[in-house]
Order: sequence, then structure tokens, then C-alpha cells
Amino acid sequence: MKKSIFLLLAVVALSACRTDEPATGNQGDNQVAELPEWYYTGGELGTAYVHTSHALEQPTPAVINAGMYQSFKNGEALFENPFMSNTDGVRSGLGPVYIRTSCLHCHPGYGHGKRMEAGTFRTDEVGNGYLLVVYNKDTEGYVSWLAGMPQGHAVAPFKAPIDESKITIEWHSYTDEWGNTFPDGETYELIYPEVTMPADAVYAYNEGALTAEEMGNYGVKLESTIGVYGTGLLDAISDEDIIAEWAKQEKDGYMQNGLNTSYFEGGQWKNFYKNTAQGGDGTPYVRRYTYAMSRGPLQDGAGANAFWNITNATRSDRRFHYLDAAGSWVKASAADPDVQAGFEEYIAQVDPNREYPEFWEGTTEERITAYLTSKNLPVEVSDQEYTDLMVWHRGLAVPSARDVDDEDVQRGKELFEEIGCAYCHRPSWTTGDDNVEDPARFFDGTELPRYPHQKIWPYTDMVQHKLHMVNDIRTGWCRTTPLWGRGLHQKVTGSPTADRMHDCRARDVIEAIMWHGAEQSDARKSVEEFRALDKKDRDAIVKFIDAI
Amino acid sequence: MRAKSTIFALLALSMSMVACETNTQDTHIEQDSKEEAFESAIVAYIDNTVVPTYRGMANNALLLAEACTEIQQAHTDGILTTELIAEAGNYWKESRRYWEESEAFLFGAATDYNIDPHIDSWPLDKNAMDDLLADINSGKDWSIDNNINYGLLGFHAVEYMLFELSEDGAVSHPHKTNYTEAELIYLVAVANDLAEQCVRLEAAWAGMDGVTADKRTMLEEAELEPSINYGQSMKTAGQGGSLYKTYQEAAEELIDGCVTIADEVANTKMGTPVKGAQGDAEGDRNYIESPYSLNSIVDFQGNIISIKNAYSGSKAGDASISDYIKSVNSTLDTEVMTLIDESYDYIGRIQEPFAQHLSDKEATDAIDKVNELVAALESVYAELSKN
Repeated sequence: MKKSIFLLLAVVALSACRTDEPATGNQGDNQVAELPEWYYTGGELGTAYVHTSHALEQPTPAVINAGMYQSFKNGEALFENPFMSNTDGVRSGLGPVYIRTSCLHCHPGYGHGKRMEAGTFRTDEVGNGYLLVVYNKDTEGYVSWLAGMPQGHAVAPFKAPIDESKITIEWHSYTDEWGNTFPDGETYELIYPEVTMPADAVYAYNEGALTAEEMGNYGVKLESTIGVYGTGLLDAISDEDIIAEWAKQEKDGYMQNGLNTSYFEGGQWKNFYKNTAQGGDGTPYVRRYTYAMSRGPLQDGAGANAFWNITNATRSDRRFHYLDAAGSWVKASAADPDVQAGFEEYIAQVDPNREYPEFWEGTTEERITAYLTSKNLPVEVSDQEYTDLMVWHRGLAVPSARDVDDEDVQRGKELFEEIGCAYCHRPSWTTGDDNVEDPARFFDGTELPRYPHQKIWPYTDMVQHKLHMVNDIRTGWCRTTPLWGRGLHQKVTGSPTADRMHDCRARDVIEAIMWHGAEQSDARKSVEEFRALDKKDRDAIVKFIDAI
Repeated sequence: MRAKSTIFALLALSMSMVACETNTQDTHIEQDSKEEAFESAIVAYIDNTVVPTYRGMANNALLLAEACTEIQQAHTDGILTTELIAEAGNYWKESRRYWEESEAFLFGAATDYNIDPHIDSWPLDKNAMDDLLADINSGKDWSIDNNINYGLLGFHAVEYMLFELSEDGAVSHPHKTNYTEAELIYLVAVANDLAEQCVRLEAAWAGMDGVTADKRTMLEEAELEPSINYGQSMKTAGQGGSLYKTYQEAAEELIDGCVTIADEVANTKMGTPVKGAQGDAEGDRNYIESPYSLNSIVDFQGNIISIKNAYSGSKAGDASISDYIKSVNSTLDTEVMTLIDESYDYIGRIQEPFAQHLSDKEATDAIDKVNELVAALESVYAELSKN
């Protein structure tokens, strides 16, 4: 009797208590019982539900709904597969100098770069997402004698602007003011990188086209890629809402470093993003992408430009090569006898029908210069391919949050807000109308997937702050990096470590948190409160951060 | 215990169950038996599908490397024949067959160690290859170990060296015997590099102690020992060192691998060139991966076999995800199995050279069929992810 009542009740209970996961990204129709809104990280239109090693590769429902799936798949292939130095055929046009052969190289698993161990700077394998930031230590600005993203590779007869085998990364240990120990005795380790690039790693210097004096007091830092997923959703946040957030923070006055007054002061945005040189008409846009907030809308953002400047494969709107502003590499190349010797064969392949008289007339030095600096090179990537790439770029979904009903994760979420992490790592935004702006005026907005009025959970305030870390990011100002999806990094890349922070220095979440703890850091108070928590609560916060 | 309080206790328990707490005894039992079913399927998957597939691939890649060395020797001795080149070509096809049959499990080592782009990037960077051959000819320093781009390596580089097309592009022949010395130096180097990567892949899933001593030595000398035993990791889900918290997670990965390759076959490998051929701006008729060996149809069918092996096991009697799905949703299982066979058949109806049959009805029919398979596999994923 006891047994049958139990079974009867059990049957009733189980049939009343379905907790189905939604279906995978391509369908997503199976709606469920009560999942919290923060489960839907990309909103209804921008979330996918796959948590395997392909978690960051899924199309958004918006892509599917708009019938853009084939375009998405084509763009994906362009992102994943390497470009070749052939002059025709699929993915041709690599070079004459380039940074990587494919986008995947820097975005393993479509996400954040992996930490590179000590040694030379190696970029032939997929996974190294570091860009070398070569800057002037006195001005903190980028040097002019290398491209902002310096190229380590070249197509014969040309030679790479930098010799990566001469550039070295070292890792150093760091002990914070607390001896890397929590009050309860638990310890952690902290490491940070240093990069050395001797002058003779620079081709133009070796060729005598660049002097040590011109190179000045330069230094080199590392900045890693972050993930591509969810960038479309961030783009859908309105300019007004971003301005409102900056204004609120200025008014609150909680940040001991204040705000970056190069961009914002007295309640006003000061230094807008404008495109005037590459198809744009100078319309001002609020800055929203990259650590340095160097970019405005996505359609003229890091990816849209990288698709051209990483490989130097030209487009109808980029019929020129990405090179250093000072012209030092061109100068060195044009005078290099090896380059001159190989130029005939090279130019015969590039311009077999001699459509560019300037590549064929004059001295060899003049001809090489004309080719390298040309502003109307033949187009290597079609408009359709670029559009497909941007459909994919804008169309990458954010994986839904994991373990949302785990008690520790929920406790961690509460604490994350209680101790103030959520101030900079603002949990959510509601997107605006998302009319899809393009400062370069290539896209009219109808070609790409849209995310209007979505509640999204990126855990960033889209504002820059300072952490005052040892060997800090260039200028010290850093946009709060979105935390969404980062807990899946190791699964999707196979990295042995979490590789958090801008240079992948943090091997797990604890290290990442403790790098926020400098005395002058904007996060100092939150870190003090974190340290005061017991281990169970600290671990709960870590679990939460990995779950979002 | 007195009857009344027992009933009271049961009522309290049942009310908490109705309130949707998941920690009931029955849910645990159900979850445990699910985990057991998944564990059996995963163990059979690793031992009878993944490892043997990679072993076949590695063994044939080693034979391929040997055959390329023989070609080089015969050429030096002035006795190179078409038969010898054809034989190497057959090892290429065999090794590649196993590779295609492994594409339902590209996650793990093939991705993490960049083995996929290393051995399967295409097209060949012919321009870079010509530059490299010139370097080899002029006695300059060269290597294919470090600092070389993927467009110079792998299956497609070897393919270019072993096969060539007739004038009209309709037939694939063994490459002519009149190689240059530099070409053969390059071929041997690339074939050996390919073999090393294939062996690495096998060892990554079988464990270093799961491969022959010769293969172990090869990896140690090349400094390519895997750091994770991916097979062990999947077979011991939930235990220390595993990448998976539960066998359910491992099963999801298994099926997602199938979804991904099915989708790629339908919409990228076939979809992109076919749409291009139909004048659809979203396509590109040049998007054909193995242009010299005319092996596309066989490749695509290999991918379907990969899905079949992963989903329903390779050997008769293997425990599999199909078994589990059959037990909870037999209609879905039948649907998947049928669509797998139909996909294989439909693809088989497309004629080679694929490049010249892109506009045939058989091509679009095959794409549609495989997309049906994608949808069915996604339903399987949804079924697996239920709590």
C-alpha cells in the first residue's frame, strides 16, 4: 500500500514537472517552464542553446528568421578557412604582407585568443589571438613606422615588416600587497607578460630605411582578441543609452579614476567615431568596440576592417594595402635588391594584362612603390563575400547561460551584485530599434540580421575604466570586457587555462578577479569585499562568472 | 512507522515534487539509467568508431608517405612508372576516406591541435608552393615544420602532386612522371608531415599507450605528443581529468559533431558551389575542395558514414545513442536511420566530376535530403538535452 501510493504520487509529480531544455540554435521552438530572463543571454533573437565545443558558432534566430542562413554559412567559411596568395580562385589575394592567413587564427572556437607560453611570437598555428601593440612610451600612442597591427608575414619577393622569430614573450610572477593570499589562507598565483622586440626584428631598420632615432623610445604590449559572438547584439544598443550610462557614472562619481575625458566630459560625449576616409560622410557615432573604444558601429568595426587588413585581401571599398603610416616598409621594400629581383614575376601575376601602366613604367623602385601604395588595386574579395562575412559576424549567437538553477551559481549572482562587480560589469541592456548603421556607407542595413528591443546580458557597462595592473594595457583605459560566454573558453579552444584579461594573463577566474585589486583600481572596493567573503561565497561567484 | 505519519510523509514528499524540486529519488534513478545508457554508447563510440577510424587514417597516411618516398627514389633511378604514382594515389584516397569518416568527430584533438586546418586546408596555395619550389631549387634554407602556412600542407598539397585532370576536367589521372627534383623533395616532406599529424590524431584519442611503439617514437621525435587523452576523457565523464561533467554532456558533443558535419555537407560543401552554379549570388561554383582527384562524392558519402557510425555504432551489437533514442522516441530513431541511408544514396546519385554536375537535379535533391537529416539530428540533440 505504501509503495503504490508513493509510485502514484511519483508519477503525478514527474509528469507535472517538465524542465525541458530549449532545442538547439537552429530550431529553438521548444519553450520551457520558468527559466530566468538571464538565461536568455542574447534575448529571444540572439540566443542559441548549444553548449558543446561549437557553442560559440551558432547562428541567431534572427539570421534564421530573415532567411539569411546560406549567407551565414558562406561568411563562416570565409572566417574559418585560410586565404591563399594565389591571384585567383577561392580565398585568393593574401598579401603582399599579412598578419594571419585566416580570422580563425586569432579567434579559436570563434572566441577569445589563447595565452601563449614564453618563447618567440608564433602566429602560424591557430589560437594565438595576440596583436602586438608597438607604442611610444613617452606619448603612449602607437608608433607610425609599423601598422597598428604589425604584419609578421609576406608573400615573396616581399619581406615581412617584423621578424616574429626575434620577438619574445616572457612571463613574470607578481605578488600583490596581500602576498597572493586570502584571509583564510587560500593562495593564488599571478603572472603577467613582457614582450621584447629588438630593433633588428624590424625590416625597415635592417634595410636602413628607418633609424633608431625615428623609432624612438618604443615598447611592445599584447592585446588579445575577444569573441565575435554577440557583437551584433551590442551593436543594437542605442547610442543614447550608452551616453546615458557614461553620464550616470560621471554623476555617481564612484570611480576613483573618473571617466576617460578624451571621450566624455561634463555630461557630453566628446570624441565621436567618424569615417571620412573610407566611404563615410563623417556622421558621428558613439564609440563602442575594442579595449581602446576605437570603433563605432559594427559595420565599420574591428571585424569589418580586419577582414581586409589582416590578410590584405582588397575589397571594392578597400582597394589599397594596409601598411605603416610612415611609409617605412614601402621605402625599404622598393630599394631592396631581393624584392626588385622578384618583382617582375610577381607583378606579371598580379597584372597580367598590364592594366596599370604605373606598375610597368619607371624605375623598379618607382614601380614597386606605385604597386604597394596604389589606391585602386584589383578587387580580390567580392561585395557578396564581404556581405556574407558581415551576416555571419552580426549573426553569431550568444550561448544561453548554463547551470542557472544551480544554488551556488544563484548565490554567486547575488554576491556579484552585492559587492559591486555589477557596476562595471553591468548585467543587462535592452537594445534599441537597431537600424544597423554603417559609417562607411557600404551597408544600408537591410542586408544584415537585426536585434530590436531585446533584453541582453553581456555584463559590461560599455565604459572604460582603469585597473592599474602591472604592465597595464596601453594608456591604462580599458572598456569593460563582456563576460558572456567566457566560461566556455576552454571547452571551445582546448586551452588548458581560462586565459582571461586583455593579455590572457589570468589562468582562472580568481586570478582575473585579483588583477582588479590594485590600490588605485576602479574595482578596488569590490575586490576588498571579495577578499572578505568566505571560500564558499568566493567559489560561488567564480561559478556564476563561468556560468554566464 | 505508523501508517498515518507515513502517508503524511509521502504527501509532503509528493507536494515538494509537484513544486518541481528535481531531487526526487525517481528522477535520480531515471537520470542514472540515462547516464548508464550514454556511458555504454560513449565507450563503444570511442573504442569501436573513433580510434579505429583514426588508426585506419594514420596507417594509410604512413603507407602514403612511404609510397611518396618510393616515387622519389624511382624517379632518381630513372624508373618511375605511372603505376607507382597510382598506387600512392590509392593510399591517398584510403587515408582520406578515413578522414572523411572521422568528420563527425572534429571536436577535440582535430580542432584543439589545429590538425584539421593543418591537414585539410584548401585550396592549395599554388603561388606559395611555386615560391617554395624555387627556394628548394636554388638551395635556399627551407622547412615545412615551422612558420609555414597551411595552404602548403596536408591532403590537398599531396593531391596536387599525385593527381591531374584531363583537358576537359572530366577525368582524373595519376600525375605525369616528369616531376622536378624539387617537387618530389616537397612531396615527400609534405606526405611525412601529413602522416605525423594523422598519427598524432590517433594517439590523442587512443592514448600514447594505445598506439604502436613506432608511432610513439615518431611523435616523440617530432615533439607532437598529445597532452590530453581525448578518448579517456570522454569515457570517464564526471571523473577527475575529464572534459565532461556528465555522460549526457559527452553525448551532446557526439551528436552536435554529427549535426555540424551534416550541416556543412548540405550547406557549405554542396550548398555553396551548387547555389553558385544556379546563378545564386550567395553561391560560388568554384568552391570545390578536391579538384584534382575528383573525389567529392566519395568524400561527402564518407561524412554520412561518419554520422552513421557515431549515431548507431560501427560494429554489430555496439551500444549507441540510437539505442537510447529508440528507447525514448522510436519514431525519431527510425527517422534518423532512414535519413542517414537516404542521404548516402542521394549523394551517390550525383555524378563526378561534381564541378560539372552542380546544376543537376540530383545535387539539389541531395542538399535537401541532408538538410532533413540535419533537422532530425537536432531533434536528437534536443531529446538528449532534456533533464
